[in-house]
Amino acid sequence: MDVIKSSVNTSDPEYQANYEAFKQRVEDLYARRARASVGGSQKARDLHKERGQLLPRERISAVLDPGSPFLELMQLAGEGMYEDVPPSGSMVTGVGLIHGRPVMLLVNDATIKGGCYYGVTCRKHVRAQKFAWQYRLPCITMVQSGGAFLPDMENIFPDDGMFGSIFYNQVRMSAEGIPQIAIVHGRSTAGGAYIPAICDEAVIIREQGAMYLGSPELVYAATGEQVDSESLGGAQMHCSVSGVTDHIAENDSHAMQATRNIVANLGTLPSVRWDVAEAKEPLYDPSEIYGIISRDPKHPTDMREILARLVDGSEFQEFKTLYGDTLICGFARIKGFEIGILANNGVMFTESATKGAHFMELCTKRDIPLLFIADVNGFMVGKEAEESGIAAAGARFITAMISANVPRYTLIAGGSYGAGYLAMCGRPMKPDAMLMWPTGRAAIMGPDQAATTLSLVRKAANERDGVTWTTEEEEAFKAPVRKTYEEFSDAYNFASKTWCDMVIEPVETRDTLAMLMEMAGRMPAKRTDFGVFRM
Amino acid sequence: MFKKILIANRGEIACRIARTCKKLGVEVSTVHSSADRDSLHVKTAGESIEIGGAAAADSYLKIDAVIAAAKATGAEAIHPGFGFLAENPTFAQAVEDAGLVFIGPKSDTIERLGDKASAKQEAIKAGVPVIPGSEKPSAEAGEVADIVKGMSLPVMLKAAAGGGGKGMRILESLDSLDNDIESAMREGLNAFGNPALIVEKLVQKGRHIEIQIAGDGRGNVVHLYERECSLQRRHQKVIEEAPAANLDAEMRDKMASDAVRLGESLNYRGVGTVEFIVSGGEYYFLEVNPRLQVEHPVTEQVTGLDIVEIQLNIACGHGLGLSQEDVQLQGHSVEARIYAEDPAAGFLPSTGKLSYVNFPQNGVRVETGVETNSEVTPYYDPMIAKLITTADTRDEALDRLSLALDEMSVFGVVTNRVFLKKLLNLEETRSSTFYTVLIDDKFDEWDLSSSTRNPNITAIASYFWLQQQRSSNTREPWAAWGNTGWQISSGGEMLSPIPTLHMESSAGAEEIRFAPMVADGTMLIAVGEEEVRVRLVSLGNHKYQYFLEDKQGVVTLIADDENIYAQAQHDSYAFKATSYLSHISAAAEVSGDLKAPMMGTVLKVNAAVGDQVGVGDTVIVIESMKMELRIVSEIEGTVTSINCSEGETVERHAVVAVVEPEE
Repeated sequence: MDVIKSSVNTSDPEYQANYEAFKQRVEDLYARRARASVGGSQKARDLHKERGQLLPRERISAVLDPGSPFLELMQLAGEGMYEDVPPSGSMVTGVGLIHGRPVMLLVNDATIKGGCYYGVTCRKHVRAQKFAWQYRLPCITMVQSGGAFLPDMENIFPDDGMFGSIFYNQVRMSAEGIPQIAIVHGRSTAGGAYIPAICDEAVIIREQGAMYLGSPELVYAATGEQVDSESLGGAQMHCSVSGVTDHIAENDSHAMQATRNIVANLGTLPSVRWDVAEAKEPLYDPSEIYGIISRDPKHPTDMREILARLVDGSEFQEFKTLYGDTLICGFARIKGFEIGILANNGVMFTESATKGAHFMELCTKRDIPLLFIADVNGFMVGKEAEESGIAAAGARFITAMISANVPRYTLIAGGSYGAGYLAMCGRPMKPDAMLMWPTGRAAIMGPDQAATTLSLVRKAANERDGVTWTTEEEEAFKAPVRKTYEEFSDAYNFASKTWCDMVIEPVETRDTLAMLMEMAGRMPAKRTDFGVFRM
Repeated sequence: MFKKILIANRGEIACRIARTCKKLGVEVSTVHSSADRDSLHVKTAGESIEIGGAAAADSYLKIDAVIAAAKATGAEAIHPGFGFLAENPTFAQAVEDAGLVFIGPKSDTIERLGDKASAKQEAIKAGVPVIPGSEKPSAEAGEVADIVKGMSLPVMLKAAAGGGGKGMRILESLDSLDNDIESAMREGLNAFGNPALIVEKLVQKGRHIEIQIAGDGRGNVVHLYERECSLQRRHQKVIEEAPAANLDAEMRDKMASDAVRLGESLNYRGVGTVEFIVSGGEYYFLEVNPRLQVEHPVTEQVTGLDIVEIQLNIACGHGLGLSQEDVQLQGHSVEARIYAEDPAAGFLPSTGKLSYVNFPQNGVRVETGVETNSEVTPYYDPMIAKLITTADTRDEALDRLSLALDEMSVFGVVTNRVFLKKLLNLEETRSSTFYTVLIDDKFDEWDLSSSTRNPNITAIASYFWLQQQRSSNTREPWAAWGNTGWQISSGGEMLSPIPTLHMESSAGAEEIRFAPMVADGTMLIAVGEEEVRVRLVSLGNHKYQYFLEDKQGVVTLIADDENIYAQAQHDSYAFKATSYLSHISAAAEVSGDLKAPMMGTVLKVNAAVGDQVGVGDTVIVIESMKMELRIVSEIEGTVTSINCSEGETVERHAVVAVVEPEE
């Protein structure tokens, strides 16, 4: 294999300035994660502990195998939303090992508004289910939720992808033989009662968990029947009388043990379908990526230098090096897993798009996962471009990218704008996982382009109206547009809205991708049928 | 020389006898009980006949079965080793009657020496000084009590047929006289089938010196000089050496010639040991052991002779093959007996599977009957090995032995290793000012429990435990050791929010929390409140180099089921590693269940269903490893169930009775 030879000079002031700027972003990322992982207020957490219950992350730590990795998804969901009330979107989701098997954990955090479902909570829960579905991961839902956060009804109740989709996904996954397991930690009323009830196996905790379609209060109001929570829908009743739940636990820890026992009997874990090589570290330290990523979006980042720090042994077998060179395509291994990488190194030209489509065809024929590393302002515009058939080339690229039935991963390393965002396997293209570095940005267009475009439109209108703009007036018009686009395109906006699965830093990238690919490799290969390629 | 002999024994001595046989070109066969099918002596001999059940009485003590095994395997002679049938005149006679050779003294010699009282008469006849005391054994408790009352205290009660400390009692007052007589008689009866006792003046602070003799049965007797066996625990020898240091040469010569004279007067055939107690300027005859001794290797080391070879030569009629002048001493040799017992728990025998056995190979003579995966059962003597070192000087031999004890590892049972090390380095040992009850006098002052918390070793063992849970295969990143604890980090070393592991040792239980491993393999581990950074690098053969923040060293680590054994130089640790979750569930259990601490036979049931018992009341007495174990109630309450009866064998941890607390 060819080895990328780095020409980075780490003592260069430019490198060092980039490094420092990126380092601060990484520290900011860590700080955001730390804030998100605390959960509810100290008071709420103390109260929770006083009831003898474990906090969500304690439950996760207890239920997973000792030393298991935990690939947390959408940790920063809800950041800055709802007056910053629900850290992590009031639930924790992620993948870890139980008895050596990767499972999806969906854990309500009752210390945040009683574990209420906000709109973002619904999105997060549903996305975590879909993530589990694509890799057939058993779903373990630890239920402790007060139900819907009523003021956010429009984002919770009516549509596909909201709360009701949780049931839909549970049933459909169960139908496909993907185990659905629930632990009832608290009172689950009405809709909340269905999450455990729809599961394959359910554990309930004595004198803590309860399930009923109507709470004792509602029952009294409706029928005048007076009944306490434990007799109405407590663990003893549901395990011995109604049979709604299957396993009774004395406390949280005992419930975690019961859950582990359930997972121990889920049958054989399929083995990875690829030959995985011994992992090799890159020749260059991945943390040097900090100094390579340009701190100023106007200055391009050298993508080959990034690749040299992401792939095993810095070995990269490039495809069509000399053709369409604004898109780098090539084969490499990440922690031993073979992967086909498409990385932007400038705007997309007709040749770049054609080359990319060709390369994706190769990968699908060879059952090699795809990694899209996005840093692109979009497709080339202009007469020359149109004449060269860029619309058709772009269509071929997009057709190949959408059709490819191999695992697809998207990493937004820099800006990813407009059709470029979509073509580089943006979220609407349903990548297996959508990852962003803290420098990742995405929007219909870049902040400057947006400000310029909108000011040109206004200028034209002004001219019709005979109004003239001073430079100051034009800048005063542009600044808020720029700000809006900057805020929108920010990786943390994407993270907060759950438009991406994780914000990770460069040093974490190899491990993250390797764990994703191991899960993908345990699935059977799927044939690819391409849509019509416009020639 | 014989073509083939049968070794009617087990353990290290059977292996040791087989070694000399192989050296001399003598084939061997052996016998074993059902509990010993997989034991080392069976493998070493290569041919073995299973002669009965686990209890010695059902196998190793079955005379007919042993002789039949010898016949069946075509052996011409039987070597009894020591213990079991070695000093049984009926056996010796039966072997001869069967047309085989008994490798040991003549039956009537054994008979005359077997009984302490008659042995004393033989000594008196030969002009050997004896301890004042009763003239003949008595099985009448009243008679024994009268004799005691007629002597000045302290006196000693001894089982007439005894040895090895069984059935012995020292009386310093008459307060519990009847009880002491009764229990000494019961032990004598259980151990030797004879309750008769003799009474002797107790020689205070005496040293135990014994003379090894060998006779050809035609009147020729030589001695192989003396051994000192003064370090004893309750009359059980622990450390032996040859020659004795700090012993008057004239007295030693007198003892040696007394021993030879006694041998000559008995027309002694075979090897034997004449034991003396030395106190002040006096020495007294104790007894003759008409057999090979456990501690014979130290004599071999300093004389260059093979005592088993001498036995075989005598038995096959070749005679002694050496004269007194041929016996020359060179250097000094010390032996330590490794027992599977827990000094910190009153020397309670420790049974179970040996997860790992490793003895030093260089410069140490090792006699062992166990190997990795051997089982130590409660049926036989808990001695599992002997380490013998030899050097020009006594100090050097002691130093080497002390180091050998550091280097040996026996995991799976508790051993007396640390206790032995303590003994070797006692001031009294170094200056040879010890005496036979030194250990019993001083033991209470010693802290032998490894109950000191050691967060470092606990962290090392926890790291090792975690490594066992993870995979060495890097191709599966989820399971790979390199990704242990991996998560998108907040930048720090985050310890898991709740403990992952419970590490239980004699020092108590610790809750262990792990942080994700960092790139070089270092991991932050919280042991309770203390945080330790650890890294381990395998050196092969179960040895690891450990790196702590302020030091590094080498540690031997073995994992066996939920047990983790660690040994770093002087200290060995046994941990029971259980997941935090299983511990939580177990903590909820409260009960008045009385459990057998080990497998054994029920001797006595003291309570019946409905009886009230208090804390500390003995409800059941079982016998295990020839020890009486009391199972006491830890709560006050009513006995609601008795699940065993006298004579029944109960399993380890079996619930033998249940006490319900008062409401």
